[in-house]
Amino acid sequence: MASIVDDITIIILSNLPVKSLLRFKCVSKSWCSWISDPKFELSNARRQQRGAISLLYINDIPSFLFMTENIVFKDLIYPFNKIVPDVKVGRRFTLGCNLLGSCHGLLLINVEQHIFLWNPTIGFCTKVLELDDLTREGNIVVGGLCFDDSMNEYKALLFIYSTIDDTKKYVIVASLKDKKWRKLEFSHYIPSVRSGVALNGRLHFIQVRRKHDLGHYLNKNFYIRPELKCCDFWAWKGIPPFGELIYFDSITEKFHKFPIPRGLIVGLGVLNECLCVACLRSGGMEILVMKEYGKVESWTSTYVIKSFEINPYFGYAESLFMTEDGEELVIKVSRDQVVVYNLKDDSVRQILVRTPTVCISSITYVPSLISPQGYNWRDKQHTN
Amino acid sequence: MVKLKSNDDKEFEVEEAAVIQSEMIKNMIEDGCATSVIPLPNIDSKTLIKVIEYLNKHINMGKAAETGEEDDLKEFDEQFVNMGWEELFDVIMAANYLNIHELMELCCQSAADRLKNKSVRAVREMLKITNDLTEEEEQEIINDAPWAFEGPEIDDTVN
Repeated sequence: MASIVDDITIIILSNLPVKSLLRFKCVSKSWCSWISDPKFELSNARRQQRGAISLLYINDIPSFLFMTENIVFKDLIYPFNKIVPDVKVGRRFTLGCNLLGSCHGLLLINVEQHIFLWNPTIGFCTKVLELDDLTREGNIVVGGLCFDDSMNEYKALLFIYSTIDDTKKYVIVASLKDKKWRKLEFSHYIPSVRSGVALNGRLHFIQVRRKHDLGHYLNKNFYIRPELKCCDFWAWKGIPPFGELIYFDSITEKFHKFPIPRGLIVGLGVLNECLCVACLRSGGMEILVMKEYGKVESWTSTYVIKSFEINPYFGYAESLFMTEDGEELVIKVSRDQVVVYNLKDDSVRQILVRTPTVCISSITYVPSLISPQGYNWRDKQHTN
Repeated sequence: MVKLKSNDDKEFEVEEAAVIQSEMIKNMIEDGCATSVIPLPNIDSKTLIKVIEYLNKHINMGKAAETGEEDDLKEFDEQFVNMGWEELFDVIMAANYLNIHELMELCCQSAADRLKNKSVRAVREMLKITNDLTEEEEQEIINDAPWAFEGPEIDDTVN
């Protein structure tokens, strides 16, 4: 039976960040078992909202890196081959690997048609879903992972469209438990949806106008490179872009719109537990934070990055997170560049640059110790 | 006034308004079980003095917010947790026993802040824990997440 001292130690432990907890598993047998207890993991993940880091997938080697809250890069060994032996993390972006979403420190990631739930912090990984359309030539996918509190289960949401056949586009959702894909009604233009950010049991997306919305403006020589996940910016010339913020309610499975302040939205993220957007304005990029979730009047301009300009026609800002000391902001600004903005001296420096033929895919998450059970894929049971 | 008695037989008088921040004593008073002296067999006088100091300062949270004394209270809290490790643990035990939610949270967070960057060796020493893991088991834990054992912030001192 656990003593009062043990109970209190567990309460103190639940206030610690993940890095300390992983280290303190070495203190003793009981500490190790408390920290490894699934119940403790969940309560800990709910408490720890700070200290976001990013996972990056770079398709030239290909390799996974993670970037800590102090902007240190570390290589990460991916575990997918251990689960599905023949799976290849390929070079071609659309046919290889997509970082689909993150929630509670878990990542949803697909390699070919296999979808995995991966906690890179503790090396937990399991196949959870499968979808053949993910391997189809020219298909592009944007996704999200969220937790439905009412059913106590994770859900995957995917926006899929074809760059070859414009009639092929749909939105689907599946519970990671029952694993059945269901189509959802979606009144917005699917190819314009980007980046899913989970917060408060909802998934948030921005909708940015892209080439596909503007077919009649384009000249016939326009060249699409599907693996780039964005179109050549020539197509945008002379056309004012815009942005919208939509969210998906994980319980009702309906989409709604969030009114947003003025300006063109080019990015979405979470800062200090608040939803934030990056807006373009003349002479820079503005970061707006929704101080009180759901209250439109609480949108507050927090930073204006003057020394930095995004090309309004194809640029975007992703994977925002604040460094541990609160002095720098990490932003992915295009498919081959990650920059750091220093809030004190208003300077911008590049930290990761690749050639334009290389894609850097990134996702921000708050590390946790969660390894949820009961989501494993069983071929016999789940393949139709 | 309510009389509290520590386990070394010292009595303390505390205003009822202050003492009912303890859920346990509040229930005792409501149930009519607090007619004379309330014995607290788990708490020594040194710890009880600290707890009473906290209760008196936090006597009326709502009042503090109205009169703009919140900063003052924050400063008090910061000073309050500035005590030795063992002392802090005793206050946590007392706060847990007396069921004083805010005090419990304050002290647990302070304890966590102190442990956060400590090395495994330092934690064992601070909390007087005997290592019962084998070398192999330890190595396995390290291999699972080597990055958690590295970094300039990790502190091997005991204080």
